[in-house]
Amino acid sequence: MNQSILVYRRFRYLKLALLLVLASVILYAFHQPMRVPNGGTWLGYTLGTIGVLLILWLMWFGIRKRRYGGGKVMLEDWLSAHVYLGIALIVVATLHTGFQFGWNVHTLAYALMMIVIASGVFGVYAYIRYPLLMTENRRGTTLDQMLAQMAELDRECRDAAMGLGDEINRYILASSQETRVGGSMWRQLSGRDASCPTHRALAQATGLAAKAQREEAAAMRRVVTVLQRKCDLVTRARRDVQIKAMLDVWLHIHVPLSFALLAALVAHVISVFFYW
Amino acid sequence: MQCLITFVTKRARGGTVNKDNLVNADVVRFGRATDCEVHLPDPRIALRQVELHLREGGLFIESLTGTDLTVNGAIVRSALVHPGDKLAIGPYDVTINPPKAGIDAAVSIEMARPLSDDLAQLHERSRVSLGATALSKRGLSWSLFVLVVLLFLVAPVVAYLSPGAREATKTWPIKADTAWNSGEISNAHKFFSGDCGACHQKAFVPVEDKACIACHKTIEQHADPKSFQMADLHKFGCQSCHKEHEGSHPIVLSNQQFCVQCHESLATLAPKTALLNTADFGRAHPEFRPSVVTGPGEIKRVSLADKPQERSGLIFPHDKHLVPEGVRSPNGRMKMDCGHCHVPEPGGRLMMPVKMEPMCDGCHLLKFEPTRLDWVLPHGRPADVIRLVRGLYDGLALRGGVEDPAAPAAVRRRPGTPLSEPERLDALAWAEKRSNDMMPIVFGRTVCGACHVAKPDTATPGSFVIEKPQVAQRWLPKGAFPHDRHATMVCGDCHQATKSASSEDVLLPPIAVCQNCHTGAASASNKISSTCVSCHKFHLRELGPMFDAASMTGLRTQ
Repeated sequence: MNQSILVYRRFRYLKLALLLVLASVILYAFHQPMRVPNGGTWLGYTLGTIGVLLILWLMWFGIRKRRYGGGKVMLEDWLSAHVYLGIALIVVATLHTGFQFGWNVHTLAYALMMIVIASGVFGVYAYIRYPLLMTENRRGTTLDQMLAQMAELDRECRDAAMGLGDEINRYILASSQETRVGGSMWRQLSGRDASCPTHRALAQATGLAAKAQREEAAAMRRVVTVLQRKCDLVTRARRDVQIKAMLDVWLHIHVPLSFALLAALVAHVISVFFYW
Repeated sequence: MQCLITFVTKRARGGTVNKDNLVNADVVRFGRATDCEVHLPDPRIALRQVELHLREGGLFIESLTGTDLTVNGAIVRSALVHPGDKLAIGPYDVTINPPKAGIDAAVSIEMARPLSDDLAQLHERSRVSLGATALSKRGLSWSLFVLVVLLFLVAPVVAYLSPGAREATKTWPIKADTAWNSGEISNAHKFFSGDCGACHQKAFVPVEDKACIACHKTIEQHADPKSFQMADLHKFGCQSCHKEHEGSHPIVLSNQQFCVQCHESLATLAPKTALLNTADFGRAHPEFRPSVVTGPGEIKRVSLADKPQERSGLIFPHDKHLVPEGVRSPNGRMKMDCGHCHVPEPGGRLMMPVKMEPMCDGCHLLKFEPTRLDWVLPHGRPADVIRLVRGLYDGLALRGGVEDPAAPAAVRRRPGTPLSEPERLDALAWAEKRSNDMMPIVFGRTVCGACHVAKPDTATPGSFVIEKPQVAQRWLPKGAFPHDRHATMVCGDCHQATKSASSEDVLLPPIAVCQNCHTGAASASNKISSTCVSCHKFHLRELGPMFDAASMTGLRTQ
């Protein structure tokens, strides 16, 4: 399904994008401006106009995708075209600049556009790669099921440790009361918790199990087994959250910077004609 | 001691269930350990949490872990307790009850703070989507949109409308008036680059020519408006060629396409023109056509291909002066080079005019009388020379002492001897004849005629005229050739002077010589790319101002 966005209708929109890129490059190569190439020549205005229209159309996708079943053109067409024409914009806009950059609103708009496109490209990659990883990681369960299993293991672990020492009980209590999956944006994206109470409890229990005697040793082995199962669950749950965050995080760049780009684009166009 | 332990359990439907347990021990231990007298199965309770003793003073409670024991709300390590006291041991509430007869102590224990639901707590602690963090796409989008609009659209417009606001934002990291600047101003205009309004006089109106003419009042025409009323020139404002904000380099248009669009078919566009079509210095440029003097007062452009001859009225064989062994001079053989006569003007671009003095007179002393080598004529007008020659002979004859046997006695007499009137007339007659005889020599090949074309004056017998020298000040006035920028070459690379026997030769190199090093607009690996403006100017000084200075309204066409 995800793959099919790229090969959709036998690369119809890839071909369209390549045509646009090729036309722009050929025109640019044969264009002989009076002076240096820039946005102010006839080709510069042409490429700039195409760029603005493309950006507005690409942003319209954000609205179109929310209208389920709306419009005659399939949403898959929109997405496939969004991806390919968005990437084609790199060439169109770069040639529009004539490779003139500076610390100004014009280059700001260009830089924002490039970041938006780069984040979008990452999004395409994420949508192709991460769903598979997510399925593999989940092994047929869901995140909610994993969390429920963890809670169950917490109870089991506490019961098993009831007759054991105070220290290990403190660790186990912390494991059940302080372990968390996800958290801040960074924690979600990193997929790990350096001070995970469950992992600490497991390390502690493993150490103590080696020294334990007789019936205490049996209880300790049970605790270790339960904690190992919980550690595995915690790791997988965090990986699940990480993958979901990866699938989501690029949009947190793609969308807000698209709006910043829209503002910079308006300022760019107005400024160019304001100080004509 | 005998101690009655009552476990109180709340029922879901209300009410309580009490479970009594009579303990007989010296010390009643409360803890998670199964061997404790009071077994409290909760992970928050230590294996051995507290102990209850009966002493003489009464019933004491003592914490074994140091924490998590309160008596009537106060945290204690140990305390004397009485019936009615409320204790808290971890999550358990403990009440000291009045003991019945035969029993030393009675306590009731109730789980007051059970462990919360693990799953609910886990859900509460875990944020498993980015949407649950503070990161909001919508909020961020609008914030960035508004921020960019304020900084990069509103601020510059406010700065445009209010100079005060522009001043106020000068210290901001993002300056309102430079955020819109699309590029660096050329060096020539940089001194007023802070004043946007100097050129951008009206918003949404392209920079007008009058902004340029405010300074460049006398900028010249390109074509003579009387002869070539080229309507096309109206279309081009200053900005067509001179684009600003494209870096510090000069804003003169170097792209020759602008020139070529007319000049490649000029013969069709302006049939009256004397200019030839051209499109590129490397490929399609006519042979140089120097402006040479073709006759008295007559200057014509003749192509070097047609071997132009300059009628300068001067005789100067370059080859004789540049012989390798040197020329004869009063001081012996002297090797001459171009620099003996051709001296660059102070700017270094062109050469100074060659003058008789002091360039020639070191060798070419104007002597004519073999018996009087002290006589040297000045370099001047023929009439003055004739007068001077006659005066010299008159003086010689009247003074006497001439040793010529053919001369009259009065002329040969001892100097200082008085002259009678007839003798004086005799002497003057000799002097006149002598000077008349000498005139062809003075104006002949050895003196004036060495360099000038001199002829007897048909109107005044006995007099001579010298053809007025006419040397073209610049053979190629329409192109600029900077000698100083070709200083790495030697003169002979371009000017074949050593092979020129006649001053009529125009010693300019043909275009092919220039093309050895220079090519047209197309870049070549071993040649210098040269466009029209490398040699030619657009605004031609001799054609007068381009704009009507009085009204400053536009291109002058009439």
